[in-house]
Amino acid sequence: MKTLTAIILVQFVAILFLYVKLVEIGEDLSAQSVAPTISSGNDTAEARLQLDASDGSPNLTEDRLRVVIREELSAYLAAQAQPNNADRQTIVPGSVDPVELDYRKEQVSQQLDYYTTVGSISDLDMQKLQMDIAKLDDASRKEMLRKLTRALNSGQLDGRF
Amino acid sequence: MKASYLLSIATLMALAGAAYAGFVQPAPVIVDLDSRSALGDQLTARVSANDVEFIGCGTRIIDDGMGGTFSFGFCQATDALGVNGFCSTTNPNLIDAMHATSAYAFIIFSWNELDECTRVGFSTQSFYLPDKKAK
Repeated sequence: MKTLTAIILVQFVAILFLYVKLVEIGEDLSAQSVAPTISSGNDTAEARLQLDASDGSPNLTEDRLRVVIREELSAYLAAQAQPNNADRQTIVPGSVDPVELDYRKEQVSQQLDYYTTVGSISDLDMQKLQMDIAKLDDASRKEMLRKLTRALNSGQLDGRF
Repeated sequence: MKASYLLSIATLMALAGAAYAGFVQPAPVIVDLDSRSALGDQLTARVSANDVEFIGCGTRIIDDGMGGTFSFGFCQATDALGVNGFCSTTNPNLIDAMHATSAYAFIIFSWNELDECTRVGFSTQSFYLPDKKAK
């Protein structure tokens, strides 16, 4: 029984010793994590906030907090105001949905077929047709221009450029 | 003596008139579908007795609505018999040439089996100009 009591006492002392050591290590780590941020010269609001807190004094006043929040909010709003890369890609000239381009090409082709069936195209309709051809992708433009020229050359379509 | 003097004056005036007319070379429009080519001068086509003959080239530069432009050139002709010759191109060099056409020019152009222009030529010479004396 005496032996058992002695072992329990030894264990208790050992646990107490370890606990004290852990607390000391924890305090050291906290001090080290603040130091590099300050020495890096980073002038962000976060760095200044850490600098204010580094000496342990309670100088983080309400006014100071307001300044920091304002700065962070301004930076956030400025970032939101600028379009990101994904947004810019959607307005790049010439980037039209391929499905839409196919639809346009089909429309132009049908117009051409219509005029060819009728057998003539007025000068005004010819200009409109050319403007519709301009709205196609490069390959389709050439294809439709050839189709138009072929119709004119073959005599199936009476009109002029 | 007086009659001889007047005759000389009249002869000189007649010769001067002929010299002012200069060499003329009307070129009616010809469209040859076998060789896929057409030629002719604009003035002759314009003053021809028929109402079908014409020849010319042109360019189009169209805003595509997507931040760019679509450019193409063309030449077209119809001869007195009503035979048509058309061609179009997106070749920048040919477009430049077609853009540089002038009034009263003689024009020649050719096209391939796809009806794309393969050649264009212009000639602006005195014998294609209109006779200013003609009323």
